[in-house]
Parts: sequence; structure tokens; C-alpha cells
Amino acid sequence: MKTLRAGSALSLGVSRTVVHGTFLISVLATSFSALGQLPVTILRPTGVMKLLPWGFYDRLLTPSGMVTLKWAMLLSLLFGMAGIFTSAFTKVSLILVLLYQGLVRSFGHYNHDEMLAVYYLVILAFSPCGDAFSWDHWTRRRQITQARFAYGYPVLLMQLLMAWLYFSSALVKLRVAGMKYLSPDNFPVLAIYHSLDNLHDTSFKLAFWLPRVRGVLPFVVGIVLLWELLFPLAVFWRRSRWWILGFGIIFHVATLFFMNVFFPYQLAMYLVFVDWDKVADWLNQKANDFRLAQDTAS
Amino acid sequence: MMAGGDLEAGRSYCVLRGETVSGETIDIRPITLTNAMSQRTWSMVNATISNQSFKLTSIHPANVLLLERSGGIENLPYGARMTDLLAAWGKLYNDQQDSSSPRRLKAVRIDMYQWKSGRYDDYASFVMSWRAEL
Repeated sequence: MKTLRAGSALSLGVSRTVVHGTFLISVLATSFSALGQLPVTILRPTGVMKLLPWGFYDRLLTPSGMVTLKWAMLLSLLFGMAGIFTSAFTKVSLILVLLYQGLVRSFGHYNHDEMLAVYYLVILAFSPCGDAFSWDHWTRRRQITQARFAYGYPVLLMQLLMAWLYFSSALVKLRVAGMKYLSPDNFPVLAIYHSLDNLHDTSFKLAFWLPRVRGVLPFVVGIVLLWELLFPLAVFWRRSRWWILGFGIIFHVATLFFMNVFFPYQLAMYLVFVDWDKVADWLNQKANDFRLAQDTAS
Repeated sequence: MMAGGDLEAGRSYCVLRGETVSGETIDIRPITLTNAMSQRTWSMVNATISNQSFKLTSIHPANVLLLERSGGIENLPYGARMTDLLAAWGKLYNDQQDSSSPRRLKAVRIDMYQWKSGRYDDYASFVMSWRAEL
């Protein structure tokens, strides 16, 4: 119950801003018109995307079709981030992001970086995430009316989802590869493979240095597996939280430089572990101190 | 990635290149052309090489026509739609250049290499290329 009480209307509202804001920045920085120039004939609709007819993709996958989608996403995510008509725009954002993520996955593979943030959109779309830290709240359209549980549960669910993602990742590795996952060649081979082409987002070449230290790599991989298995502690044991999240930041930055694989969405989602009430208290205290200092000076 | 890396298994990979009007061959990173495909360009290229879009339960009408013309999936060459992808990338690249730039492309190609198994060396055995004139 202590974990549930840790969540609040403020924490849920800030989480809404972080998740929608992350997608908003990403969409802003992405050229949708360029995506609209890729040939529709290499598209492989996946999951529910298979239910949409080819005529829909023929019309959507054009520069003008994709720019229209971009503008719709920008407006919806902006409203969702600011908490304007929150209930409606969190749902519209969810549908548009699902369509877009489904589209890019239909070209490439089922990349899991953004998936956690997509699940968070689902949670936010069906929770009272606009009751605080939102335009709706500041203009008195919405107030904190529900029991603390209603705000704490979605935050806890988001934290649990992230913990499950890492924990299950370790389980799958052990189930698929078994103890072979700890072989000295596992990490260098994967890292070099992802550093040979020029189709990855970055072209770091640190991977080619790894065979020289292959003897110690089973221990490094073992520590990472252990970290993934212990990730649920970050939810329930606050004293371990910043160590576990700190290791996660180092891990994801390392995969960027050694493997040219990066998880920026996932890193941004670490912010759901921040106790935003404490941050707000700290900021209020600082503001009061500043005001006091000014009054004293005048 | 979940299965881990195996030094004994050979692996192939691709490099996107452009042939400029001034006769130079340059490496082009597709992320600078279609950044929406961040973190998934390589799997899009692999799927295009293995003609995955021809193996769906519902195939795009243009691909159905190509299949009929070629006499079935078994007669389809690897990367049957690769030239379409290369032409799209070539156009996007040229759109980023001045109309008089010597760096404008006259052709785009993707070169496939293999890292043969067994050792940390010999990473680039040439396999094949796909090329699109612009």
C-alpha cells in the first residue's frame, strides 16, 4: 500500500506530460514527408495493421498523407502533454501513435524501444491523468476528486510494466540461449554485427575492441542479466531505485557506443520513478527561500 | 538479440552507397534520408532483400502483378523491390543537394557483404549489389 500511496495526482499528471512530450519531440524531429516517399510495396502490415486495406496505405504513404498525420499527431500530443481536454486528447494521441508505430514497424522490425511508452499511453488514456498538472486543472475544468488510489495505481502500473520488461528480457535470454548467453563471444559478435553496416543510426566502432577483452565479458554480461532480474526492486525498495536506474542509464549509453543500439524512449520513461510531490515541495521551498531573501534585502 | 551472438554463424550486412555525377562513390547513411526509420532501417533492408512483402496473406496489388509476371515467388530474384527503395532514397538525397552540386547522385546502390564465421577478422566478403539509376 505504501507503494500505491507514493503515486499522486501530481505524479500522474507529470507522467502524462513526460510520455506525451517524449512522443511530441520525436514527431517534431521526424521527417514524415520523407517517410511518405518510401515505396508502399515493401510494407508488411503487422498485427491489427493487416485489417486496413491497401487503398488506405496507398493514400497514407504519400508526402501529403504523412504530413497530415504529422500535424494531427503534433496537435493531439501537444494537447495531451499540456492537459487540454485531457480525456479526449490522450485517447486521440493513443490511436494516432498506435497507427504511426504500427506503420514504421510494418517497414522494419518489432523494435521495443518505444513500446513501453506506447503502453504508458494506454494507461494514461484510461486514467484521471488530467486532474493535476494540466491546463484543465489550472482552469478549474478538472479537480482532484478521486481517492489517492485512483492516481497511485496507474503510476504503480507504469513502474511495474518497466520492471516486467527488464525482468522478462533476462528470462527470455536465459530461456532461448541458456548459459550460452554468458559465452565470451556473445557480446562481441552482436556488437560487431551491429557496427558493420551503415544502416544503423550511429556508426561507433568501439565494438571492434571487445574481442581483446573477451575473457572478462561473461562477467559483464552476467552483471547486466542480474541487473535486469533485480529491476523489480526499483518499484518496491526505494533505497535501491536510484542505483538500479543509474545502472540502466549507463547500460543504455554503453549499448549506443558499443552496439549502435539506443533506447531513448525507455530512458525518458525512467522519469515515472521520480517522486514528483517531493520535487514540487523542494521547488516550493526554494521559491519561498528566494522570496524571503528578496524581502529581507528590500 | 535474445539468442546472443555466435562466432561460428556467418552474418551478412549491407552498406548504402551513391555514385555522384562527378564520378565519386560515397557512403550514404539512410538515417539522414528517412529518420522515421530510426533503429529499424537495417531490418527494413533485410526484409526487402528476402522479399517479405511478397509472402503476406494479403499482398499489395502491384506485388501480385509482379508475382504473376515472374511466375511465382520461387522465380522472384532477391530484393525484387530493392530498386524502388533505392530510387526513393536517391531522390531524397538529391533533394538535399543544390541542382548544380557535383555531389548529386546519378545512381544509388546497396552492397551486401558477409562476415564469415569463426574469427574476428575478414569482415567484408562481397556477396552482391542492387543498383538503381536515377
